[in-house]
Amino acid sequence: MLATGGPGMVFGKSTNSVVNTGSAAGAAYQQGAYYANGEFIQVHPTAIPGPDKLRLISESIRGEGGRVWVPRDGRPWYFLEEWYPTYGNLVPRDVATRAIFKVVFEMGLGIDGQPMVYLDVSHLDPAMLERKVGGVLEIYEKFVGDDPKKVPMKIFPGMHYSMGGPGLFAAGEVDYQFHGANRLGANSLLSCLYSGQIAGPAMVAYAQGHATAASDGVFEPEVKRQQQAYDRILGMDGPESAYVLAREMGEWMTANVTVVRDNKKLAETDQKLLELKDRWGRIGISDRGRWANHDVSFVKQLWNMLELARVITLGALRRDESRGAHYKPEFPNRDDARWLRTTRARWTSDGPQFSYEPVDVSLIPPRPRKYDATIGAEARG
Amino acid sequence: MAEGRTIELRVKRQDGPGAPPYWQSFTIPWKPQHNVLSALMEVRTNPVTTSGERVPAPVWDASCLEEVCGSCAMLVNGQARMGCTALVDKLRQPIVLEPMTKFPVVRDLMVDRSRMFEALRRLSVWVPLDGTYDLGPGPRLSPELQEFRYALDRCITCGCCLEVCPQVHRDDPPGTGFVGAAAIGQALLMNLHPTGQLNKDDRLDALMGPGGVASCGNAQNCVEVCPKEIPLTHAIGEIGRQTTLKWLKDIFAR
Repeated sequence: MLATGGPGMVFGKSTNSVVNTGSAAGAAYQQGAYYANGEFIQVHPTAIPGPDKLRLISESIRGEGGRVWVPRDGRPWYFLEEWYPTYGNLVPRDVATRAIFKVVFEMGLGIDGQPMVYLDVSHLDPAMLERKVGGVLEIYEKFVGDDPKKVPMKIFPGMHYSMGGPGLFAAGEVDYQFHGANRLGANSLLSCLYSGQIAGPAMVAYAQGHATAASDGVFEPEVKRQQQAYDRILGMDGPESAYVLAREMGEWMTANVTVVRDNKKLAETDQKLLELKDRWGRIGISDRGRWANHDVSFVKQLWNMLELARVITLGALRRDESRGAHYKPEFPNRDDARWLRTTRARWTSDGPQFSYEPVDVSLIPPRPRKYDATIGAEARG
Repeated sequence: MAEGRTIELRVKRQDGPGAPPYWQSFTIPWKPQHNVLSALMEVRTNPVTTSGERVPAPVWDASCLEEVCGSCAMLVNGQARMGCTALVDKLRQPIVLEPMTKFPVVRDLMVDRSRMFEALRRLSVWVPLDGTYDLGPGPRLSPELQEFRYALDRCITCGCCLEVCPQVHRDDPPGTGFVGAAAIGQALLMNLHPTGQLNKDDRLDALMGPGGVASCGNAQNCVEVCPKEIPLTHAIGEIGRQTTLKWLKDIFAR
């Protein structure tokens, strides 16, 4: 059973921990598991930009009354409240993220020319903030040095969550059971707690239902194969650095396969990933030791990440519509007739092979997803 | 190294448990917002020492980079703290990085913190559930108790409090060495919960045994160094009170 978290490191910098490489899911995919809905990548609107990672500022901040604004003509402009009067600062993550992108990149606003906007709680009662969201605000203060109770926080959207995952027993972000094209806030707990509660016993039942255990004939060749792979990496002495390749992968994936997706750029990104796979063979590792060798594990993980990156990129390239976190300006509308489908990628030596299966909507018929004033109010009422 | 502002790291290295330690320096270009770990990541992309020697990249432990996972505790300029929140611009250079001294070194800056998890086991820091039936909604806690327990619950098992404790030694015998402030705080966290209280005596028995709360020497370094500002000395005092009451109760129950 996989409980290995998300693939944040495929995007270089994300809100994930650095151990969340997606490598295990990428390995399962290469061993024959379908990888579903890889292209659905959620970007969280409010993260602290940093040189090493993007630190999440949770939705709870806006839940308690935090307001997003950007300076315009010398005054705060609360663009989410203006554009989405019904939902205001609490529009879904993809909507808030695209709004921030529009303000920063299309309208040329930001903070001192930097791609950032303010998330402001300085108007709220400091005692209430300390009691309810002290832990979240403390992260900001520790890494940025400003007290958010006094000074508005500077934030920008960051890669946050993968709705996709491999088709086997899984719990947590690595599963793909529930979230479709977009995960709702706090539903990561659904994946974590409920999947764990269900998948654990289900796996035991599955194992008990199989009268015979896998024989040594399965494990021995695999151990040998893994040992050979390890030794091969230990001997790599080319000019490339695995960490530089990972950085390039992350920069391309973040630029082209997150918030706004364009078919030409997606195709270019796949070419880049093929180039990186080629250069992977010319990596040189700094460490030849056999004890706690992080270089070797990272080189191994990097290959699995590149395989997964192709699934994500090509899945996005094929899906000519906009749905949930997946947004293509060339195809701005949701196309249920063609694309109300779960994506399934299967590994082949020529790259991922895609197939699609229908989504069960028998209980709740799909309806248009709108958050602007009129329809938003109607949907709420 | 190129012209301009730089960051210099002096790293104490050790190839494995029992291997002799040695020092290496690395210099990288300055960038805003660097912390100790992001600087080490920069070193890793091209692990060449300040004197131009290509060496194996330094090894360290890290996961969340947000001071939540507890894995990157190390000595930064001699202070036990988390590497991720050690902001380069607030540190004197060269920045001296060493592994914590009270834990066995795995390699370079990476140490084995098993001792802390062993202490949690010794003190039964959990609530046993067999999962065979639905226990229904949990008991209610007052907001004051919730807040106090939350402060204890912030522990990330990083090991800083053990590193600075004079009662903790690297060669303490397993199973009887001082459990340390972190584990005592967690025992109190459980003892203050209405359900956790059902097993309060198990925890207090262990805390009255070898390496328990009586091993605390009251140096109070733990509470000074805790990155999560846990009221550790308060917790030790409260556990001391609970064990004394338990001791008296045991006498009269005999």
